[in-house]
Amino acid sequence: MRADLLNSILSDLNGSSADIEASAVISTDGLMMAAMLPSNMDEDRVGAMGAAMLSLGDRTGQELNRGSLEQILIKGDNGYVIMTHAGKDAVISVLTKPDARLGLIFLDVKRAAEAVSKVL
Amino acid sequence: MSIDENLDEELRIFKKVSGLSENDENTLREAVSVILPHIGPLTETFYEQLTAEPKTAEYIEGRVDLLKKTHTQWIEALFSGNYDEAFIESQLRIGRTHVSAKIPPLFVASSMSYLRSAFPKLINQEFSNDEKKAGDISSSVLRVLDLCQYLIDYAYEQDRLKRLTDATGLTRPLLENLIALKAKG
Repeated sequence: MRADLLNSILSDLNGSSADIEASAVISTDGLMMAAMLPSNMDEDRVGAMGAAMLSLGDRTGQELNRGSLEQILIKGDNGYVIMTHAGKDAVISVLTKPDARLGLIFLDVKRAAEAVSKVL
Repeated sequence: MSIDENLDEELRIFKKVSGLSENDENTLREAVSVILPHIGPLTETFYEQLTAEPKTAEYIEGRVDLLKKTHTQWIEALFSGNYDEAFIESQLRIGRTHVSAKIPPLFVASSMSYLRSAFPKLINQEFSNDEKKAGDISSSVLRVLDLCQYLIDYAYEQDRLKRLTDATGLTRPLLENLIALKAKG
């Protein structure tokens, strides 16, 4: 039931922009809770790396006096990774194309994160 | 009462694979009276080794006598033939003491290596008339030394993981998940 709801949120998110290639909801311990990933992507790896990045981002924000973490953005040749908290115990991670229009995607990710936190 | 659930399970496996059993407890208990008079000289030689190397010497400078006393008590405990929870806890405490004294794990490993070499020599010399018995005693001592080193290493590992979680905010389960990831390629 919960997994269905999470999958439905991710499905809506992926459908909201053609620039979104994949998304996932991950526990803060790095376990995959729901995912819409390409078949060549390892869920365990995406889960553990996403949670680790968010955790390090949290700590970096605190240590460098930047306040509570809102978002992590990684830019690579092949696109972006956007990560944000979805409630206290989960992370939402989104992969986009390199020329993605981020403003709109940020809004959609924020909405999805709020929806996930309500489900959890 | 359990020291740590994971450690309990690991110790069960250690005992099963290494063969450490009640037989070792009995063997070492029987040998203690013969070994006891040699513990002092063995400790002296051991500390001569440590003081001969400048890097290890700096860690023990000014407290050699106290350390020798502790070392002697530790060896006596090895031959007590009682490897219960209190023994395990005391070895973990020794590990934590090494960690808090910032003694590099290399020094523990090389010290253990020295003892692994010294004990069989001593035992063979004292039980030269009974080769089988000497072999049994040596095997038992080596198994207990390995157990002690495993527990001391465990304390180092726990400390490093704790420092990593404290510094990064990564939880222990997340760290374990990261460690468990297969190498890419």
